[in-house]
Amino acid sequence: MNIKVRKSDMDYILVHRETVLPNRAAMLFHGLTGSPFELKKYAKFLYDKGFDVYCYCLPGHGDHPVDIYSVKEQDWRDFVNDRYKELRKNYADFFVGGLCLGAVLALNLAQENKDITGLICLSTTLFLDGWTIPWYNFLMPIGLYTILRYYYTFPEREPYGIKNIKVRNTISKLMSKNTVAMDNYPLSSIYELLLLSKKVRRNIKKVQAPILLVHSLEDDLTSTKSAKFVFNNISSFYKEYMELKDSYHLVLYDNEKESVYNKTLEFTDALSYQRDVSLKELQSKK
Amino acid sequence: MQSLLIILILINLLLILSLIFGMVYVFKEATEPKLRAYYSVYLSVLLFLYLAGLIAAAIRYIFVAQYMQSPFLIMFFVFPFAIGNFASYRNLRLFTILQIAVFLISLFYIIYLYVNFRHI
Repeated sequence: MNIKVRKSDMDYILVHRETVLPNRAAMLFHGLTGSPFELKKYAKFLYDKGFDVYCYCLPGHGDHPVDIYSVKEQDWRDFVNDRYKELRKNYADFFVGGLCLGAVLALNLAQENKDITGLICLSTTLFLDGWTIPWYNFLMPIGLYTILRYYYTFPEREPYGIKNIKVRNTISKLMSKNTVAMDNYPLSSIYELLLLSKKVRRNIKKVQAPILLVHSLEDDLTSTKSAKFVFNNISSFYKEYMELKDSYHLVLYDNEKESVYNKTLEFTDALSYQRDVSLKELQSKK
Repeated sequence: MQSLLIILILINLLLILSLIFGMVYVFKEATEPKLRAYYSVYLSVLLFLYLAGLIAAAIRYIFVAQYMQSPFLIMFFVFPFAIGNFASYRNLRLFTILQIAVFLISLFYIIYLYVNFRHI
């Protein structure tokens, strides 16, 4: 079993090179102003369970911080679509998921492609209504629709989407060096996220793929309204909603990460045709 | 009405100066994100007051049956959104200068209204 990790452009890709049969794969996307770093442990977990995992760095992220100002939601959608078209044909079971913006992109992809095996939407951000949204949020429309959106920024601040204090301190130190995520949200990128969210909400009934929604009751950026909206309006025949009680926005790093990991596995196993093949293959190689 | 126009003139002037100051000194990569954030909130508050003032003045002019002024005031209300719609990060400087020019024209127009109002 070989692990291929491509770090040069911040993408994080884990591929079982020696598989005989087409296997199962997961394509995951990070959140707004984040990076594939936030999916790393989750990706490794899925890889160990027989998945090929592709975590791509979204346009406008990962390189120069200024890049995010000029990125459009169309760029994100095209990027995700292209990666999907590239990879889908190689696998029997293909899961698409993400955190925050990544979850919205996964939903958007599912609206246009009906052959996704399953969706994993973590902290889906369709509405910005979490409890850390600043008091001056009522001014947002003034900023959003004028040139001020290129000047306006929300600085990242405590609790950084994490309830666990130990993890929060570590992330905060890494963030101050701009290594794992940006230390502020430019309003122009929030504008693009809201445009995308609006499109996804409008076409939500087109989502037919089985879905796992994970959302925290105490999410600091977006309340459970987003996840509930998706759950109540999609046309999927199989849908699961997991509500967390002891986490904030970054559910993959918080107190209940183990439950999220296990629930994901339970969900993907229930849908994977290739599960038995993959497990046998993995066991024989061990 | 006169006091509303004076407030609008002051806000308009402050908006022009603040935008120029922001462009030259605040909105730079090296500036602390927190400072940039608070400065942009300050600009948003000013813009909010300016837009609210324009709408209030436009309505007031309709009430005093001076219908010619209202369309111009509404036009100045729409301009920031129109410019925002076409703006892009690549041409931000150009669009900011355009926005400042529009604020300047509206400033002159409101001064004109104020001067004429006194003669009614």
